[in-house]
Amino acid sequence: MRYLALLALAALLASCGAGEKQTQALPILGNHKIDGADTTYHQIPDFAFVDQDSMLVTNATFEGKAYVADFFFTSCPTICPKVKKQMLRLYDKYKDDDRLMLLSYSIDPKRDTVGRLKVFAENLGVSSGKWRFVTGDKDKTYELAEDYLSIAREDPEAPGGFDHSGWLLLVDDKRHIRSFCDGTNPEKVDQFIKDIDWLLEHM
Amino acid sequence: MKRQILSLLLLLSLLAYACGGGQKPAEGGNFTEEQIKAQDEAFGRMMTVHDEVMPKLDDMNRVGRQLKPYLDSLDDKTVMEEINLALQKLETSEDGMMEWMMASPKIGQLRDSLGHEAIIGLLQAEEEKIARVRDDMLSSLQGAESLLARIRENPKAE
Repeated sequence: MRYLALLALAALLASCGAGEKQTQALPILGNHKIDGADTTYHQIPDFAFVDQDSMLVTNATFEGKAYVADFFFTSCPTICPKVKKQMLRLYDKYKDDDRLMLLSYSIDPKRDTVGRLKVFAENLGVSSGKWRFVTGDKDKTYELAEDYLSIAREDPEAPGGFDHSGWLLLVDDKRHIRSFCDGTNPEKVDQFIKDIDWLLEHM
Repeated sequence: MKRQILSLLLLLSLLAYACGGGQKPAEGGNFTEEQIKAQDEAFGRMMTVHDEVMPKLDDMNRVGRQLKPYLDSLDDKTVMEEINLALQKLETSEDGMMEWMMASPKIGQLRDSLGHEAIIGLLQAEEEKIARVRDDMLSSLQGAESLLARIRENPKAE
């Protein structure tokens, strides 16, 4: 009788939702091209930027991996520090999981030189292999940001535009955007982590 | 001997307490709650101006990218000069914002080094500075958008 009670208690605790997993499949987000029965899903376009170690970073850098992207600049006084705190949560959680990387694009290449990004990364205490901070042509960066955030057009809760609101975007191993969240909100990032876990499990 | 040591320890503890070692200093060093509130409000006013105009960086970049192709396609030198001037103003005003942010005061650091009146004075000065940055950004954006609209309406310029 005692063991039955313990078993029931264990089952109850397990069903309480603690560590509840994401069970629904993540959609592929973005503006897809539909031609009759064929759908061409949105993909992150080609890009080439330089990271904090002066290494070239392109889509090929993330081949076979998923990554979380954000747009920032090192002198950002309010939003970016909050986002970086959440990105550090992701870094700590997945630092030993090679299936996921982090990618932060600077939108201020004039001031965010490779050297400045290197210092920034070192101050965060993160490894370049896991978290790339990149800088490049400003116009190309903004074009890329608009593309990442073009998911706004279909989803009313998605980013309304590139307004430095601290969005985090999850990209899969096929360059599709699968999830996004407000990177300044820890609770939203909690859900985002579940999305990451689902994606890594189903890649 | 033991009694003397205990007395000495008690005296040292009392001294430490009297010097403030027995309690945490109020947030912001030696400021009163009212002063902290006034400083937070002054900081908030400064950042409100910043937050109002920060999203415009995206619009500024977009209109700049829309203007740039006309530098290659237009024959009219006067309009090309106007485009270059508009792009320069966009860049200068963006630089103004980025540089202000880089140098902008952090409330914690201010409290570590300045008195209340100095903090309020500095934050008010910074609010005026960021207001000028805002005006430059909005002016450069409006100018560029007007120019773009004019170019698009005037096919003869191409």
